[in-house]
Amino acid sequence: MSGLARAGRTLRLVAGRAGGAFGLAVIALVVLLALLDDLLVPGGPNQVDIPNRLQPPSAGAPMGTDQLGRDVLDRVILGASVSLQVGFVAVGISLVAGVLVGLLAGYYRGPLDAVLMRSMDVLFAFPAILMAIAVLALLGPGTRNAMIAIGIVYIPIFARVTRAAVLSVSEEVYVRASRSVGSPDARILLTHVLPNAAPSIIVQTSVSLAFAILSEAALSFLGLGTQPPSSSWGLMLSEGRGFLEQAWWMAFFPGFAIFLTVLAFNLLGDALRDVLDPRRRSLMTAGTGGADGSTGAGRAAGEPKVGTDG
Amino acid sequence: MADTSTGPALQVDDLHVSFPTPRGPAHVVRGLDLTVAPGETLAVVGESGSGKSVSMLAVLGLLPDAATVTGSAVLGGRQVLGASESELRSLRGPGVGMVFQDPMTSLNPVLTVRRQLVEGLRAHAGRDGARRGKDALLARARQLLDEVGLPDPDRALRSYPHQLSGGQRQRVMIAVALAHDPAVLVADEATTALDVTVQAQILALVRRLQDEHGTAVVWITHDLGVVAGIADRVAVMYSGRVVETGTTDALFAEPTHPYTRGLLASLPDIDDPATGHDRADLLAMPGLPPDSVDPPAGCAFAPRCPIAHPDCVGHEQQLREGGPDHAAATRCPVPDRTAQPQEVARG
Amino acid sequence: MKTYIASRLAQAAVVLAGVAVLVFSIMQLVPGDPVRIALGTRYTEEAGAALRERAGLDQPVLVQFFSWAGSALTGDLGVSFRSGEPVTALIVERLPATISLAVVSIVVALLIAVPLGTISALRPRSVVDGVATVFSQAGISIPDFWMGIMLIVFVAPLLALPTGGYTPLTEDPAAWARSVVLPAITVGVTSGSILTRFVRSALLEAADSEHVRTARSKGLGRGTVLGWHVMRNALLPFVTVVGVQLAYLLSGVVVVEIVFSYPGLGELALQAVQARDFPLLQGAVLLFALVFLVINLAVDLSYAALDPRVGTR
Repeated sequence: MSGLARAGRTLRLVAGRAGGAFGLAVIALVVLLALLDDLLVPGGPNQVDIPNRLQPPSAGAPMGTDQLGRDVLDRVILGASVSLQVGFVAVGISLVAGVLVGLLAGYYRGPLDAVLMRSMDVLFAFPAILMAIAVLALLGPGTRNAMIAIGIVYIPIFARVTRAAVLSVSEEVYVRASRSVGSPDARILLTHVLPNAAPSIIVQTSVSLAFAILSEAALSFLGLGTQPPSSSWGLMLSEGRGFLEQAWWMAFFPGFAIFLTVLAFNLLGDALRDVLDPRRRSLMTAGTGGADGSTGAGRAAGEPKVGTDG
Repeated sequence: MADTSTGPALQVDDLHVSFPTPRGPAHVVRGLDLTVAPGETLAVVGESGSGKSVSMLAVLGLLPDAATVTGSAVLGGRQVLGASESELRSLRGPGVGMVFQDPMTSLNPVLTVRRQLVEGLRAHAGRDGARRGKDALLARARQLLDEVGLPDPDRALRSYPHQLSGGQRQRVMIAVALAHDPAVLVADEATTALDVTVQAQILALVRRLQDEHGTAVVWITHDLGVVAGIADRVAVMYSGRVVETGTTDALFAEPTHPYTRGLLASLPDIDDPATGHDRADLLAMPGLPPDSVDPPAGCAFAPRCPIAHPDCVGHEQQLREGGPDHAAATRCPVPDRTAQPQEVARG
Repeated sequence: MKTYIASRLAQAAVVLAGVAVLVFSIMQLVPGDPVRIALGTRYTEEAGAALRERAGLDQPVLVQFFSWAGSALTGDLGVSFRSGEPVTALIVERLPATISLAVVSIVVALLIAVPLGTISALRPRSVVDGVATVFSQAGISIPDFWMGIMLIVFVAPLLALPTGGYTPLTEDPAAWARSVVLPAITVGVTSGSILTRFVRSALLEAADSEHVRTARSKGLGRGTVLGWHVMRNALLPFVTVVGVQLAYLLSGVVVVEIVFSYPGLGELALQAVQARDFPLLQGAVLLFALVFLVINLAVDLSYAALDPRVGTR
């Protein structure tokens, strides 16, 4: 089965689950908003209209207006692309660095493994947001730096997930066979090890996108991410915080947009896990472990097992 | 709870078990009949997925709630299918003791042997009077470990399962199963995970305890070597049904069903089955067990049967007497192992 | 067992050393001159030199590291660039507030996760399980700072709860509780949602094991099986995730403190960033990492107490 066909099949299975379908639909909507933002909001994020400031939601402005009379819906639409960009770029950074570290650590084991994974432990010891704050304190605030900061923070998770998956496949017969006939390590890693680690990495990617989007919003909320006058959901929340009593909608709608998007990526991650992770899948279909035939497929897990008296 | 009646210790009639699966219900047991008399050892033989373990779990109500169980199972004169959970609970232990395949995973790894033995004793304490107090329970636990041949019962009581060897763990499991002197002992692949010498010791132990207590034993296995070593009678299961049953001697001497013949043919040395043989090859037989969700119409073995007749497809075969206490579900009984299948099929 | 404890301690020491290097390097990585940045418009040659000398920044890097690490070990984290006060004193002042918030948050998280996860696991794929799953999925996805804001807008006025500040427990227990409750709910709901899923899956996995079947075959009552064979064994995987979950919980504490203007360490860290007060930032970051490491070590050690197999394999 080609990679594309397999991706297609996975996607169909994911879409067949309520959570997966919801996740995909919301993500598709957000991507669409991000791509079409110039068309949907031709005037840009800063159409100031002071006389109409702090207006509650109405037919003309379904999400109300902010302290400068800007349409909250317009700015929520414009915030979509910032959130997605930061999410994808940040996760891209963690993915590439983390997978590389995990592959090397899990495949070569020994001292390299120890050094790499202890370094990951060090990174992991800092609360994620605090780590990102510290990185931004050094790099200075801004959308681009937020991507870098979030990217660094989530490297250890990818390293751990990849390493665990690599460990479980590198003892497989075909990998050892490949090694024993002297195939180059790079080739073994790319053709045997990485594809087997892929399901866990894909699941982690989806979940991390959710966390990255949350983190960007948090950093912008703290004034360290996206800077005014750009529009970002976290930044809007931060601005709305100053007007909680007069205009709850300023903070409510951007927050709700973050919530929905993050929920979508989390649900997608769950659906992917159900579809891709064979262990979890068997838990879904099997009754009680051990009872032979209870899987209905007629192959009970390891029934004739010959062990030795330990 | 020694059985006083003259009837069978356990009688199972027309047992059906199915599980829901995404593809529809899987019929794992399809009309099983079994009888075991007090003091007798019945071996239930079959491949993985033939329904042998599931049927015994069904009798004790140990299957997941999702399972559908119908039929009849009479234990010491009491109908147990459809019994309430508290009735079943009172039968588990005193009525039927169970020993499972892997003594490492079937004992709780984080509790001591003492805890695991005593909790079983305590669950039924008071039923037979005296054994109540903590000291009495502990004394009984020690006595049980002694009875199953553990050299240092006190050390074993203090141990966690991982501190014992595989053979010792299985002895503990047997002690747990026999704690209440059950009428029936079900051993589910109880020696499969052990190596050959330990396996022989465990078989000898069960035989000895059985003689002492008059326990009926149902020994579930896929290993015909074990069957020859322990069983009085054998029931061969295929796809949720008994396809052949008879005394061990009769069945080994004159296997009638083509499946049984296939099983025996795959034994390397039929005259000395207890010798170390390569168990991986034991059930080597062309083809795969049938799909329990969508089984073949009629005789389930027909697709793999070397002597299948066109009539076999679509026609379920019933057990037919082929001799005293020997019956097989095949339209082509093969009394002579050297007979050519074609000739028999015509005859 | 002893080797297990020793190896965990050694591992923690190695990670702690790494943490120290990383925290120390914050000062080195500041682009430009941290003193000049910190002093801003107040910068003069003399003031700069004085601050540099006081912070030891005129020494070679290695000397700086060892003197910084040595002082840190004795509890001296240097002086704040901004106020000139000892960093340790500034941190200690904030500590009770953050500890209160973290502890109450953990309690809230467990109060949500344990009952909800258990009910779900007892009736998998039932209506209750479905509701619990939706709830926990929503709880994981909800931005904690947004939830905090919504609590401030919609809940605080109803219950007349304060929307900021902290009252020490020793001063007025009732006021303390009122000042902690909303931030703790905000943190606890998120962490509790994640933990709910772990409780559920740990219980389901434990219930699925063969020794539970054995326990039932002995004729044990439902309560004994559940308590001694399912929950007791589910405790092992659960305890391991609690340690990791703490990282998320502490992260939540930082953000939520800022939302509620709650004078804890997280808020202090943000102030430090805004004021470019790098020694103070170092101190706050170091302390969070230290807390994380200590609790994780405690989790690992309690694991050894819970699982008799640890250390023998």
